[in-house]
Amino acid sequence: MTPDEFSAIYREYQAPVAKFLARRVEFVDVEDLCSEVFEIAWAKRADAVAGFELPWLYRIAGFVVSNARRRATTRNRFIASLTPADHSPSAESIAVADMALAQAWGKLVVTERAALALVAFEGLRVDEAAAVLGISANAASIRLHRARTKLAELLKD
Amino acid sequence: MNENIQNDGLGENLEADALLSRMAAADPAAGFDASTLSSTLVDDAVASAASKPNPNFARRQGSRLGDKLAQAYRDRPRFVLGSAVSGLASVAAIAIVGSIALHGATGTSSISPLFSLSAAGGNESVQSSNKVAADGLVVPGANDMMMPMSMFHYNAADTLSDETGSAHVYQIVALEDSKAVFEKLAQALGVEGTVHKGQYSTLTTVADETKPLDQVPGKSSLTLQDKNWWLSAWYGEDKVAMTCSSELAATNKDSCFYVPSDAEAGISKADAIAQFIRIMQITGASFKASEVQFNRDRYSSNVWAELSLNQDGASINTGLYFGMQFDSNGNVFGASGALAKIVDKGTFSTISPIDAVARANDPKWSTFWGIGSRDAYSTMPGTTVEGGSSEPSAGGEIAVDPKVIDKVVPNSVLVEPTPVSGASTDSVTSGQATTEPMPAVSESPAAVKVEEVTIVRVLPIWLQASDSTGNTWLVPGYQLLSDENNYAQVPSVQDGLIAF
Repeated sequence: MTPDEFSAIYREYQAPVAKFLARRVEFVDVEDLCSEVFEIAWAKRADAVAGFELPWLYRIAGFVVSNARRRATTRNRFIASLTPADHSPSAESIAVADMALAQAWGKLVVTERAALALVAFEGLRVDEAAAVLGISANAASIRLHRARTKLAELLKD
Repeated sequence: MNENIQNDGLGENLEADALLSRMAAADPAAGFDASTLSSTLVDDAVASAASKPNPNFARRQGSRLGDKLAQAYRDRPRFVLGSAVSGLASVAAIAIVGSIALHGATGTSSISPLFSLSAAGGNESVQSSNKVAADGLVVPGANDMMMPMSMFHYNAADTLSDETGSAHVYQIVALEDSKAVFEKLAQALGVEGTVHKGQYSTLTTVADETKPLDQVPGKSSLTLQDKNWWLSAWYGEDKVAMTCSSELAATNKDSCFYVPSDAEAGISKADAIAQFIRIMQITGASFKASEVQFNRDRYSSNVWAELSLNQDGASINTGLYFGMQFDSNGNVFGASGALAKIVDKGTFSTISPIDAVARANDPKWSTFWGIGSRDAYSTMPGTTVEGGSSEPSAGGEIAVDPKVIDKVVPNSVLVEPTPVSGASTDSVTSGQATTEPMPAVSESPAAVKVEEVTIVRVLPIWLQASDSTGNTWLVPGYQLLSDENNYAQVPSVQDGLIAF
């Protein structure tokens, strides 16, 4: 596959990948990280799964976000640095529109947030979310069910 | 893919699903215009990548953004870590005893910072994100489209204590022999694959991390990222008779998924806990059976525990969680924990609850949404730990021993960090827990009203912090609560101990 052929196929995913990043990092960092995602995608183009190009790009973007967050410990934040790589949107990013939702969101564990975000914000199907998370579709479905139940309970309080 | 797993497209059911609708309305990217990015971004990225001879360029060279941050780390002054003078030894995780003790102490003395949180300009970016107009409206910074850092202004109730105290500060460091321990862990968990440094992880057994885990029964992977590890494995739905739960599909509009025919089958509580203790012992974390939580739902059996350490007869919750999940056949399909040791860095003064409330209004102290120790969330029912599932509710607040809060131990030994010979601390800027003056705001494209909150309860907690060089610290803090269950969390260490 030539660079031009790759670009022709993947150009349409620039906007959704950018939005994925915008939900997880500061807007000013989106362009740089978006470039990084597509540089990696080109290098790994042989691993792309037909019909799952966007989830595959999101998976790469998730790693890019996790790395960027680890590098960004300059933000004066006390974080749970010993939790698994977190590429889900932060509670603060949700707080602008819905503080109660943000507080409940912050109480979900990382894996729950990651799964819910892919479905609620990125609009993925369960099997697509599973591909991004690197787990079986059934495991993703169970994780989503638990996350939604828990979030709903937290919002009642 | 199993034909019984139906994917109905949750996105298509947003109108019928109030929760997802609410989430969609709070989309963090709502204000982001993707069309502002270069129209040739993909082409340029591919051209750039194609021109690089080394296929591992992304890892070797790092991103443009990563390079900027990496250079900031290298250029920043190095601050000296203190050493404990009081004779306290490095502490490994041991059992729960007693409760968290905060002892009163007399006075504070000026000290050198124990660690730094900021790179050059980092503090400015935090403060610039919280411009407050004269009428109390908070306006996002010009370059910060994400959110205002604080929408509340905290006031201390008259009942809050003004007593200071003292507490230990710990550093959580990676094991020197992480790889050897990781290999033993992989072997004990039955994970195949060669342990190697991953492109996106510290260590992994996965050949290619960008590929989704193969949907193959029995396939599993073990990953270490910095000091945190986790196991991912196929959930054993292929090994039990399954029924698609029509009840759940009808009420939750979720995809149909497998429900084991015998929900109570699988590993016993005693066996699960025993296996958990055995596996975690490999990582150096020791637990007693009485410290390990267990629950079972229709999907899995789960065990988890929070590591705590014993200091001067008091228990300190570290915020390091360990967990394992078993499927209906009793096979492990998930696990997580930490590969780390905890080093005592000494005893330092802590501020009073009243001063903690003032500190919560200071962006450099209050920008915290992370997960501290489990204590911080024990007021919420259904709180789960990482890697586990819903656990029995703790029910209500932490039962804080009033003797702990009111106890004053005069003449406690305060340990000052001892600079290493030759190290310079000239660049140290002591943090001041004062409220920043409110700058004038010329425009307010999206203003949010600041709400006054009265803090009526203060609970001691432990917080984790990552410093500017990537080290992890466990510091004492306070959780500040209002009658409406608003809360904030701030470190309680004395001013000057942390540099910003």
